[in-house]
Amino acid sequence: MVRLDAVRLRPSELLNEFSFSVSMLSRTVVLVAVSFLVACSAAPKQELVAKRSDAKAPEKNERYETKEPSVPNVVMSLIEQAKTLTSEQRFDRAIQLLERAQRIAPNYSRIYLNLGRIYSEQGEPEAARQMFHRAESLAVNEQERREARRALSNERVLWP
Amino acid sequence: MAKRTPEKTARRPNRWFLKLCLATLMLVIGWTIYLDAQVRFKFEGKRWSLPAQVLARPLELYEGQALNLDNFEQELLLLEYAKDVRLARPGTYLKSTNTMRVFRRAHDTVDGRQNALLLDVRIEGDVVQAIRVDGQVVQGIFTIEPFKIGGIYPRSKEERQLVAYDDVPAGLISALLATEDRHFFEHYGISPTSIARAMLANVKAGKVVQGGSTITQQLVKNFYLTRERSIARKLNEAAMSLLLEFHYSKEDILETYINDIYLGQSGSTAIHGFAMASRFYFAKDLQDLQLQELSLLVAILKGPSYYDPRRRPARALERRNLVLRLMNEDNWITKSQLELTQTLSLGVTPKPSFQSNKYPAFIDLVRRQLSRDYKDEDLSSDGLKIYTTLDPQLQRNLEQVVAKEIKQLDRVRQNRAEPLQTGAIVTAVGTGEILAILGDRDPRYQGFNRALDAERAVGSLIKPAIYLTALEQSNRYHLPSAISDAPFVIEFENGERWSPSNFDDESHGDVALVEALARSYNIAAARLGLELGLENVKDMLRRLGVTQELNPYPSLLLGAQAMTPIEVAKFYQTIASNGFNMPLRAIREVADHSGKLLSRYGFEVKQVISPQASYLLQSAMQETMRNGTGKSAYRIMPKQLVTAGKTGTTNDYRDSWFAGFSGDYLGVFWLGNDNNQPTGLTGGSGALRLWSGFMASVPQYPLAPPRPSGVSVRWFDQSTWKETSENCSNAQPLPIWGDNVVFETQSCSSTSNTIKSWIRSWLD
Repeated sequence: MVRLDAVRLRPSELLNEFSFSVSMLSRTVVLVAVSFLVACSAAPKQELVAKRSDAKAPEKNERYETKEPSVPNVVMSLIEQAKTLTSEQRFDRAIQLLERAQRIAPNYSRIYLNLGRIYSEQGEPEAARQMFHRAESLAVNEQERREARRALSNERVLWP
Repeated sequence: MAKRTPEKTARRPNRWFLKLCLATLMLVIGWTIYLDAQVRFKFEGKRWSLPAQVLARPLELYEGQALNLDNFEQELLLLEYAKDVRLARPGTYLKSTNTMRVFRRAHDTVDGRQNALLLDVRIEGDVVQAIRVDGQVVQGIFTIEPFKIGGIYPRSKEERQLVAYDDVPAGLISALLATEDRHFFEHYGISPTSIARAMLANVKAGKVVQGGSTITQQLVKNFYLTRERSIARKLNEAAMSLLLEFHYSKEDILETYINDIYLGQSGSTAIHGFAMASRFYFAKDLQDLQLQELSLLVAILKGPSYYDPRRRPARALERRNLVLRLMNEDNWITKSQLELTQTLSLGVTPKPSFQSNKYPAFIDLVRRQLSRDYKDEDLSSDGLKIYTTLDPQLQRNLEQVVAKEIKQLDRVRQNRAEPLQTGAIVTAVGTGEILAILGDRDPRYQGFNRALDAERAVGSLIKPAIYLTALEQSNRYHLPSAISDAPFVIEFENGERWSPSNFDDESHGDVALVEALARSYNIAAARLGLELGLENVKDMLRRLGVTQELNPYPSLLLGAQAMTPIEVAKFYQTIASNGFNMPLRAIREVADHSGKLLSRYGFEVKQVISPQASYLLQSAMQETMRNGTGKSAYRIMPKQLVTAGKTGTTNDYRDSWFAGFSGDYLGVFWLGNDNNQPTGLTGGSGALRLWSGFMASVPQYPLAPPRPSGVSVRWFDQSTWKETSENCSNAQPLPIWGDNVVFETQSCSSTSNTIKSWIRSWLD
């Protein structure tokens, strides 16, 4: 058993310890700040209106707020499965899974991005472009928008 | 010569006899070959004409799903699940305050076989919170079998469900053998001993009391021959039975018999095969039947009408017990099993749990969409499985709301002789799937399908196309832009004059574009449309998905254009999905009878309007619901449910329309009289009630389209539509497309207003 008070550090070691703690602390501060900023910049989540809901109408200043669609976990796993199938060139099955995901979360931009990629691989540039346009129109944050735009510009290069 | 003559004459009859024998033999051989070809052709080809089965969408359960517990229960009841505290077998459920425990049945989906499974679904606030299997929370999608909504039938209606020999319960086979053919597994198709026994019995009785036909003979009789009673037919039957046994195994013959036999009648539809009969009489799968139920089915096959267990329960019971006794005599069941099952009741459902066409308007739509790719004959005979988009929960809500609202409207409009009619269609905003449809006020009516075929003037439903044409020109038009609502007259070359007027017969001077649409001002819309050019508005309608011929006159701008509800739905679908055209689909997949995928109708999309212009139009249509002609919807709908929509009323109140959408659903409703007589209803007092009643009945997400780049939110005074500060009491936000757009500004009307607004916001 090690007793804490028995551990004695030399001055140089103490300095090292101190600088290590400072760097850990600063990292933590940066991490917290970044997550705070991300949390602040992320769009609020959409909420379901239940059959017997008595909540008020949205406030005026919330009217034109972009909101994140509700995306159940199963949608993520359907997208992952579809990606695997795409890499195995099993495009029809992958499309089937993505359309299943689309029925569950029709406003989730990434579904259309993946559908577009499959059409692109299948040599259907127009269908791919349309899916990317759809993905862009449904993007709720800068990252999704950027991904859709990048896909669109790649598509233009690949299929002029 | 003389010696040889008698010889010759003596031999001649023999030769003739030989020739005759030879000819007969040839004839018999020829006939046998013919019969053999017949036997094999039908047995190896398509044995039956199987109607295409049209299936609703399967209910998919997953964490985070929007699902109302009561709606869920209704769907289970539709699928004939029974409430059972013990959850003893598949097809049972138990509902508590916020949990549904359901023992789902095994079923096939396009993804393969799904086993029977006990699911524990916890639902709170209309959202599935967790799904447990064996007490463990499991992530994933669990399907409940799809409801069979009907079939596509040939002229002679036969309903049949096929079952493979290996899936036939042993009890059914032993009951059949004991009752119909004890020596089935020993004979070669005919059983001389049975025939002799039957003849003896018949002679004794002096009439036909017993048949000596084997199961093979019965099958041959039903499968290949007519009902005629003659020696020739009997001989053919015997020959074909022998041939059938020669070519095919006993199991194959018995399986065909089990699937072929006639077992009941539902209206004009004949029920064939034990699997279908099991659903028809007990609302259960054949594999789930108990001994007393299996023996009842075997009992009634002798005369399904004579022994009808619903109309003639005593007769059916007596014969069922006879079957059980025969089973006991042949040692298939024990004495104690016999004694126990004999005391049990028949157990049939009070009403035939089989409706050949519960949703005729939807089946009609499916048939039309399929006719592009499939021949009529294939649809009614190949046993195709059509997986559709129909959502039975939404369909039920739609039917109930429409029935209730029309009844109330009928009461108010007592003096009118003509009954109101309706056509309605509900689609999924994000996918274009058609989820529910009504072709008549009576949802079971199989005739004129108004949702697809009633062409009626659309009135103000056309206006969004005008405003969208304007909003695309972001250098000229914005939501707060002033447009004129002052009266005007157009004089045509033939001397006719056209001068539109507003619903309230007043003109409103200069009005904001957003207000003109929300309040549905006719003069403003007509002026704007003419300013933009009729051709440009027509072009917009075509981009939005209207394919029909368009009226070339300015009256088009006020909706003097007839459209069917489904055509309106196509046009509004594009608006609801932010300017993307997507085909409205009623079918997802078509599979052959074995489940092999034949065709898929996937999602297609095409951008036709810029996201910015679509966003502005949707915002203006939201204003219609907040402060305009659609406002009364919130008497019924939760205020939180943001929606966008438009009313439509035609001259003399002949047509009452409403088309509107939330984040999830688009609904188009038409109300009117078939003879085009006035109804006394506006879009707002008629169709809107149906729409809002429907929307209030389903949990869903509010409309919240992502704001496109280049669109910012600015604040305007609600009465002057000048730009103002967010803090002003009369200020309301509006999206504006473009960065450097300059509007006339106004400060808050007075300090008191600011204070009032501050107090109000504080109190809220």
